[in-house]
Amino acid sequence: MELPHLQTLFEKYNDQGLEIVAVEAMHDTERATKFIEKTGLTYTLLEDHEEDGIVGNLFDVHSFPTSYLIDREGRVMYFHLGFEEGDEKEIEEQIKTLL
Amino acid sequence: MHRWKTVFFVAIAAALLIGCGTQPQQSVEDAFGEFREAIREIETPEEKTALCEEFLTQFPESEHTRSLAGAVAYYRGEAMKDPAGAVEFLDGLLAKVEDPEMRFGVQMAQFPLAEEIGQAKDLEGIVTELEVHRALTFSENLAVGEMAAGHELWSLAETRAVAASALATADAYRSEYPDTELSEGEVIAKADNRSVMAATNRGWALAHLDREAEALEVFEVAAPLSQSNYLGVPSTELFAYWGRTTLDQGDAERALELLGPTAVLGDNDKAFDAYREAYVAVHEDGSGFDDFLWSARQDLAKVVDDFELPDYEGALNHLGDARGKVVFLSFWFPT
Repeated sequence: MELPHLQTLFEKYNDQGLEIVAVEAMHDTERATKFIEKTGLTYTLLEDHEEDGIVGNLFDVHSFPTSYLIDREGRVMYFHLGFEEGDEKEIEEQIKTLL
Repeated sequence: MHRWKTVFFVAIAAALLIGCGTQPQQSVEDAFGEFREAIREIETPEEKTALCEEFLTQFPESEHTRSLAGAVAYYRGEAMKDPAGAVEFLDGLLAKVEDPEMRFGVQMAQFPLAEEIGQAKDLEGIVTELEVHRALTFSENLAVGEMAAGHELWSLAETRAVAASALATADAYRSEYPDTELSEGEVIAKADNRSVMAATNRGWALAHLDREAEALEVFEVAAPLSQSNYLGVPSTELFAYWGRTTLDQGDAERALELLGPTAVLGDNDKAFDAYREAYVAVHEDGSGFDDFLWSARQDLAKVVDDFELPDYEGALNHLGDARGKVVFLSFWFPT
């Protein structure tokens, strides 16, 4: 599960200008909030519960998790599909190249 | 193989949460209702495995057999790291299941785990068993072919890709999904995408069967139908495989072009490695690669669309407010 790893990265790099935005799109507020409370996540957590929301429509995301890394000019410089333990190292390397 | 595991897991989670339609025997459905309530409340793969196995032992043949066999393969075989136990349980299940549809699903879930512990099953035999009753659908041909490729059974991978290719039509899509609400244009787009997927797999199999010239032709014919994701990265492995085959055939410059978006912006190690090799082949050493990659990335990157969404307190957040910061934007679902 990627979200707790993202919390670690957030705490490590937030003061260097890293923001993390996690969008939950499975129409399950109850499970999502339960999970967020249990794991103590403090970065930006949003929900997209429209039938044709931004996740599926605008970003064309149909498998989860899918992540994009955006630089200070707003350009998407990297994407990451799926998550397995150990992927957080690759994600951290990519983040460091942009900070 | 990261990707298919994730997709597989998502499919299982969806199947468990949503359940399946129709109503056969009431008792099975009652038990499944209870099962679904129970599995939502528990956390560990050990507990989830126990629940799935208990249901399958009580009801070996039901419309849930395929998805629960998949869940056992995932929870016991992968999460608990007990592939031998999962193979044994599924062998026991297969001894009780006669329905060819269910047998196919269970055997497909079992196959990779049996391979992992060195007890290879006969993948071609699994296909033949179903084909006695009916032809495989596009999705099944694709799944079998990809499993064959994953275990280097290239001849079977090629045969299944050819079969998938023949079903990559709008009509075949409609007969596989008769209740689809997609428009004519959307169905055609699906069919085109299926053509690309089948060609991608066929070309890659041909390249491994020492039929590279045919492989290159297959890739080239399919390329105009290729679709791209939000970032403009091709949504299949077509360009990754085409680029690799082209590089292996000695044309590194062309390989760099073909691999570009997939290697530079994509999350694709195979494409990235081929891209770096192609760079070294063209420039005769790899020292400038990082700068080259950085500049290629800046050329190809697109500016993200702004959006606004509520947080869990209902306050609207704009992505654009984070401009000037580095943003890691992740789309997730609660498991």
